[in-house]
Amino acid sequence: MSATFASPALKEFDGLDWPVRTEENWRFGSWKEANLSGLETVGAGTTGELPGPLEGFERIVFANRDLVSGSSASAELVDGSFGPTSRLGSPKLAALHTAKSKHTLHIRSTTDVSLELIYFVSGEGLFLPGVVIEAEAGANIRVVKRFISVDDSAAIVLTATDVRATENSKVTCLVTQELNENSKLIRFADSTLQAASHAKLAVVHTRAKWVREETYSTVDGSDAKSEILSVSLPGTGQEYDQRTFQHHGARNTYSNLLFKNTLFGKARTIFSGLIFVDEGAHGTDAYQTCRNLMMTDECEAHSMPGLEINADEVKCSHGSTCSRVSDEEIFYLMARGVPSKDARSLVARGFSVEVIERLEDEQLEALAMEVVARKFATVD
Amino acid sequence: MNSETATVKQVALEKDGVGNFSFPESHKFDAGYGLTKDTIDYISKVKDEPAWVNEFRHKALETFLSKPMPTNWATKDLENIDFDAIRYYLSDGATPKRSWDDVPPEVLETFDRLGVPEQERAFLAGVEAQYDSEAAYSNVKEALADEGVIFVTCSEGLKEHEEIFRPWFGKVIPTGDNKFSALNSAVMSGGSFIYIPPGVKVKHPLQAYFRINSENFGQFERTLIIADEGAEVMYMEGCTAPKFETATLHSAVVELVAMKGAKIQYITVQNWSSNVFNLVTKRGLAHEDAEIRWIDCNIGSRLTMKYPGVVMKGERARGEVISIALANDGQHQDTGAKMIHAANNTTSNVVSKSISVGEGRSTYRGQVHIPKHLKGCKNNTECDALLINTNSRTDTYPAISVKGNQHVTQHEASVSQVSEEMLFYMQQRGLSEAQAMSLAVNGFINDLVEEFPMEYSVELKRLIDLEMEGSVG
Amino acid sequence: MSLTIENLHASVEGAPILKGLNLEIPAGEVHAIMGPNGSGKSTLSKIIAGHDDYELTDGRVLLDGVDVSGLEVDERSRAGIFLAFQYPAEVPGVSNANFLRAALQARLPDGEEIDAVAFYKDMYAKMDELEMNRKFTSRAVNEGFSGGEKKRNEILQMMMLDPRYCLLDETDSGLDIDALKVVAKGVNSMRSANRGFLVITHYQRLLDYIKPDHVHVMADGQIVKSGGAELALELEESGYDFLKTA
Repeated sequence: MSATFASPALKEFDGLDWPVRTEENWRFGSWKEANLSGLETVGAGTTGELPGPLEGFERIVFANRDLVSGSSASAELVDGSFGPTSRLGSPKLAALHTAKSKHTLHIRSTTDVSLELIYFVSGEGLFLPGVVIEAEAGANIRVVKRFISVDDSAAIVLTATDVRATENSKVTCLVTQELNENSKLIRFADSTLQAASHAKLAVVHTRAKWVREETYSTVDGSDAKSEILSVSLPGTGQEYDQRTFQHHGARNTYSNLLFKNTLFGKARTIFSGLIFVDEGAHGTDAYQTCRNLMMTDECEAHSMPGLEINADEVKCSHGSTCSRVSDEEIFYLMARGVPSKDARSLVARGFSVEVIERLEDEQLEALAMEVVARKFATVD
Repeated sequence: MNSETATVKQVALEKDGVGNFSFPESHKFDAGYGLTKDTIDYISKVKDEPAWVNEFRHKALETFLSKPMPTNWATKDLENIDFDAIRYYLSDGATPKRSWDDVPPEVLETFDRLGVPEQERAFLAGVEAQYDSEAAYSNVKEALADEGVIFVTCSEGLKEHEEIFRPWFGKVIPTGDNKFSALNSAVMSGGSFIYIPPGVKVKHPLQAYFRINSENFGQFERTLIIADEGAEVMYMEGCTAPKFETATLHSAVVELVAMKGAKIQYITVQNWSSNVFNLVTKRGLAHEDAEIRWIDCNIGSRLTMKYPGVVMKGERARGEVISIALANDGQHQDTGAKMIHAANNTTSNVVSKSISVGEGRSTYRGQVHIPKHLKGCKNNTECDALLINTNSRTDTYPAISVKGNQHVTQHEASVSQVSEEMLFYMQQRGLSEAQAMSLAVNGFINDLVEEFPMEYSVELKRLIDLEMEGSVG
Repeated sequence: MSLTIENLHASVEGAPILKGLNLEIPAGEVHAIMGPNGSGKSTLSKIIAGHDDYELTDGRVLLDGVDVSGLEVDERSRAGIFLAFQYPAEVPGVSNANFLRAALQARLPDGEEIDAVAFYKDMYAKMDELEMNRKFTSRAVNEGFSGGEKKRNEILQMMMLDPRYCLLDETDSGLDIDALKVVAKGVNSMRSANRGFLVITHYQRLLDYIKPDHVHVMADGQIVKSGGAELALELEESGYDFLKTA
């Protein structure tokens, strides 16, 4: 370490503890993986092969922390971290982001914007990107964020996003990650919605060996609508730990969370979701669904759906299921000449489609399907 | 009127204030306030217990003292329990009477007012009535006794039937399971020991009735029910206490063992007064083809923490928890279910409905565990909460862990309230607001009430109506 | 004997909805109210029924000469007012039979009980008239019912409760022609010298089947025009434009 005075952020970081086994927010989780002590930040990055362009989207490319190409009138690269907060069990990791993140991409608009951010990740170490999306009245912002590993090194991506949707704005954000099997992804996804705004945040997890994701959505203004979507396809050696919080702080708000996990090999998933309705947040409509499709005898799924309701006139429900590919469906497909292995794969793909269709955006849906298809091609 | 109706009628009487009475204390044996090694020895001495029990208690005391309060996940209200201000043992002597004529007058009068002796004469198979720390009365009908059915107090069980009792005692719920099972293991007194021999199907329910008469008192009954192969039994339990100013503690442990093909149904209607901390550990062990069903109705107490569970140890075993909870002002019903699948093709079912009225708070905590290498297990959980007023609260915290693709689980929960619209509609048909509310609430729990024995449902609805009275508006 | 609304002023959350409404519905007559959206016609029925979202700022409602303006919703119901809702609420877990029984029981003096046998006989007879499947008795009130089934259920309840004055709030909305005929038949079977009807409707079509004695037009919280049955046909032809010139 160079001889500088420790920043307040670093001091805060030092004062906090890494997660331990007994913490409720780490129940069933691999808290040891979150201990990042002694790790250095990544060095300069290399670019990989660029994927085909998305029509109508402005593209910005990063290789680790360095901006390689692209720009947008609606996006500005600002020094330092925006200072994410972790309310779901990882304050030390949030403090680490605040202390060590090099820059934040600040996206801001009052009109239509479509941005594609490509992050090529290479080398060993910590990489801490940050994005703030500020949608002002009348804005319709679409952001696609893609994490792609260029080599096989063990990188740890600690990414934080803050979506701020002011009155009458719309934000759609799709994140995909195709990191190598030695890498970890830690993600803080916060969103705050004001009156009559609409935010749709979706993520597709197919790679990386360990993912810890904390999604905190606050609906703070009447008639706001928050949708949180996730498709996960972990296989042997992969563990996805997703914790969510749907916070309703105003009257007549809506949120809908749909997570679908398809577990292959010896995969492991943990889902914990809380719908929290404040006192006075009457007229809340909140839904949460987590479905697990178990493809083998050895995968493992833990679900902890939760509700804490402190208001009146609310309609809230949550559901969680675990099942396997139904024999009837397989039989039907085989009776039409589809071999058993392909039949299972078809059904499993169909399982994920419901979530992807909720994107209600052809281009984003096509991209998500592409990423999902790449995963299916590697799975037995 | 049959036994089921009677139990609820009694409990309903309580609500009418009939149960809110007490007699001046006149205990022959009083362990004094606080809990120390001496308290343990005092209890053992009064009960004339064998050495192994005394040792068991001492080990449990150590475990209790070493465990922290589980406030990292449970309510902080637990910190309001002052263990030093509680009396752990009060009685008139350890031997329960077999005839109501021999029972001391105030005790007899207590149970008389609550309707207990009368019902027993009429139709129950057996009754145990516990007054503070000991059973004042315990009897099982001759016909059953002839078939080899044992229904005695726990103390009698461990002394006179050690060979049946000891192998299972503390096995379903080990002392160290949680802080309160440890406490119970240290100072347990009262509760039933029931053994049903192979193939015996007890047609009428066995019943226990627990009554707290003294202030600053903790009741720690311990029940062990063993149904041998192919046996069947239904056990009902009702509990009340007068409204004291100070808090009282009820920390029971109930262990059920259903051997191959056996069936045990355990029905509880809990209506402790609002100063009681009710912390109970209940678990059943179901062997091959056996079935254990917990039917739980929680209406009283200041804080109830109870998560009936079933460990399905044998193939095709079945576990079920049916729960109705009602939380009114100043009450917190923290209930749920624990289903542990430990064999192939086991099935578990949880249906929980809670109603939060006024500033009441109801919480559901569930755990479903299906490990690797098992096949064909199924779980279905449904928990619904109904909020009546603006200040009512409800929380749901289930945890479902499944390994492998050989199982199917489903968990659904919902929260709703009796809407203004629904009330206006019913009132426009001529029902008063209270009547409308009552109809709506009964509609909510309707499916579950039908799971209770038939005549029971009518009284249960009445009980809930009584609780709802005055909560509207 | 009549249901009289005298100079009624009512508001919701401070905003005035009824601005001096006058209407008299004598027993034995059927009055229809029509009007453009926003005229306040749907809220009128809720206000007469006594919904507490609405504040009466002036005027009163008289039922056969008795002022009921201060009575609760259920008291007004037992006094003889029936509202057939435009959007009937669902009551989960409570069967139609039990609900009707409870409503009828509420009208009996303390100690008297409904005769179950007579009740079921009566209910089945009326269900048959309304072409309702008898299985509906054990289904929860309005739960999972189609629009037509809900409206029929409203009329069944009306027939069972024997009210003095019936307020039908857009009873025809969402009904196909066959359902409409059945519902109208039920309503017409209840017309008598002792009973008055207020039919609130947006479309003239219903009035072909339930012929009114008087038709009123409501606009901006007041009755602005009254006439005989032919007024409805005029409105059908020329719409509510005439109101703008008035």
